[in-house]
Amino acid sequence: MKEETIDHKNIFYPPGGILLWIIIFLEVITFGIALIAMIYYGNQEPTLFHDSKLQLNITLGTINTLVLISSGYFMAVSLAKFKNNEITASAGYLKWTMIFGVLFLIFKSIEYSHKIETGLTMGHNTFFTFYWMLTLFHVIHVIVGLVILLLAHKNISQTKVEDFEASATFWHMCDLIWLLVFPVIYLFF
Amino acid sequence: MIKKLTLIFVLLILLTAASALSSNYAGDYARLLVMLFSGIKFLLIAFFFMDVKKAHVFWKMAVILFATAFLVTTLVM
Repeated sequence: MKEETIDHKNIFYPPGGILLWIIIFLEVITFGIALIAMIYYGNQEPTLFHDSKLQLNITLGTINTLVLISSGYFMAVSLAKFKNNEITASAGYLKWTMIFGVLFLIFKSIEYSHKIETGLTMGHNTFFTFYWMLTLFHVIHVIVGLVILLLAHKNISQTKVEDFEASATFWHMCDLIWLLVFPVIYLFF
Repeated sequence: MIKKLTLIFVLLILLTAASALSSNYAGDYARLLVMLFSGIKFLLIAFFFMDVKKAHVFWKMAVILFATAFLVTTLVM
């Protein structure tokens, strides 16, 4: 079905495509279950989890949240421009989306290096097992998202609207996952 | 369209700041406020950045139900 005839009100054609939305729900449910498991274990060892949380850099985590939200904003504007046939402007905003995505990875790397230097690795305790697994899985999604955006940018003039929208939807999923991960890991305990 | 997206973006920034402040200064209400603000941000991104507001009511309800279920579960545990 061509984009101009796609009725997003049709249950089988949500914005971004039904396949991607099935993937999104599987991902957020999986991360959601893992985060709930983390809270469960946190309730078993509240002192350990609180003391471990204090070892995290909340400022860096908050900055990363702002970086990802900004990236999501640029992605949304890029898509709006693309749908309006403003391809050059769309490509420009898409570049900013990717720049902020890379910035997220840079800050995450700085955070990870601090943790490794101080011995707060995956096996350190239960809190940090969850921390590393959840944030690393999220980082993998961000990297995959950046690859998808890079391909979309490379072929932007030949890309169909529904494909561009699907790429944008995947990128926003990375944001959604972080919005679940950040408050639980960095602020909850 | 761009104006609306920009407004949502500013709102998301403010909610992020509010979350950070709540975690430090809200005492017993910190958890509730932090999760509530995150839930609102989740819905704002889904509905406005991902255009769920244009989707069939099934997808709208699915997103709202997931956000609510996650929020409630984390807070009652």
